Amino acid sequence: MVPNSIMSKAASALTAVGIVLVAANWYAKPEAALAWTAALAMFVVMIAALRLSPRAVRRSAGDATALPSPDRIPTAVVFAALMMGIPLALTLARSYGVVDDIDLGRRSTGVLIGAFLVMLGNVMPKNLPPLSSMRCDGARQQAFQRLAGWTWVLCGLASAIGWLALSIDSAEIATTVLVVTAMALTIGQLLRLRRPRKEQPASGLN
Amino acid sequence: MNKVFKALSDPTRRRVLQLLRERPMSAGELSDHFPVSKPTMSAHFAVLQQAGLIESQKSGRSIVYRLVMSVLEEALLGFAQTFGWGADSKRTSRVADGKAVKRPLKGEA
Repeated sequence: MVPNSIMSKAASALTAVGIVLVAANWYAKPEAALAWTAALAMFVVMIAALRLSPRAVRRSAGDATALPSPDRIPTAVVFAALMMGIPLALTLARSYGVVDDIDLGRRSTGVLIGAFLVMLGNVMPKNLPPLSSMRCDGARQQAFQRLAGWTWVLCGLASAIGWLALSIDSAEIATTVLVVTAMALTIGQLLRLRRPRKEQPASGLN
Repeated sequence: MNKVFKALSDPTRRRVLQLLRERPMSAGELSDHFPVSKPTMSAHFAVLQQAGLIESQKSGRSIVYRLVMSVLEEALLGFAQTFGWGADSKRTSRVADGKAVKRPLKGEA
């Protein structure tokens, strides 16, 4: 696990690099000003999330379920900045004739999204709500989060491998099918979780 | 990560994790599955908690343990189980399988 301070520094550095990349792209291709403005706005939102999240978490210190833990925000910003920064860097490289491969940006973003899904699914079973606040029994909630975690980790892995190994068109279709299947599985399990159970376990935990 | 490997290297602790996969259990319920003393079980619980694999919550007068393993940690548990990490002594393996005879503590009936 990467320490939170390193993640925070990485997040700040990557957003700064991202803004520089947007400026360089704007200079190289001024006709796409709208796209660069949108990218710049995204980086501004990331910086705002980094700056404001510790304060918001401190304010809701009493309520453990209100906000995600502060260490997750820098990690999310790192992934978001990479997802935007890599295509920006490749676009810039292409406009200066350094890179010829048009698909490289799409592939790298696809792999990165797959890695993000793996990371997201990996921690899913760890984020259980307090037993006292659960609406269903602990065993079912735990089983749901474990299944959802495994589903998204496998989906992320398969999609990253797909972007690396398949042609762009096939990778796009395969990734869409994978993500839709994972979503359907998770929603199906969630609906099953909300359905009242006929017999309660004898443990009497809830 | 060292703490996780240490926690997973013991068959008793692995068995505890397997039991907690089914549902959250109280310390007493878990201890009933093992022929070892309660202080020994408490030590195992402490190692698992330090590794961040389980967490405890007070429920009335009992302490309820539940699994908080990431997918990667669960995969590691699967590997440990398959390849028998740390199953170095016959006694340890028998304790994990629930075959060993419980040794009473001083003052324990």
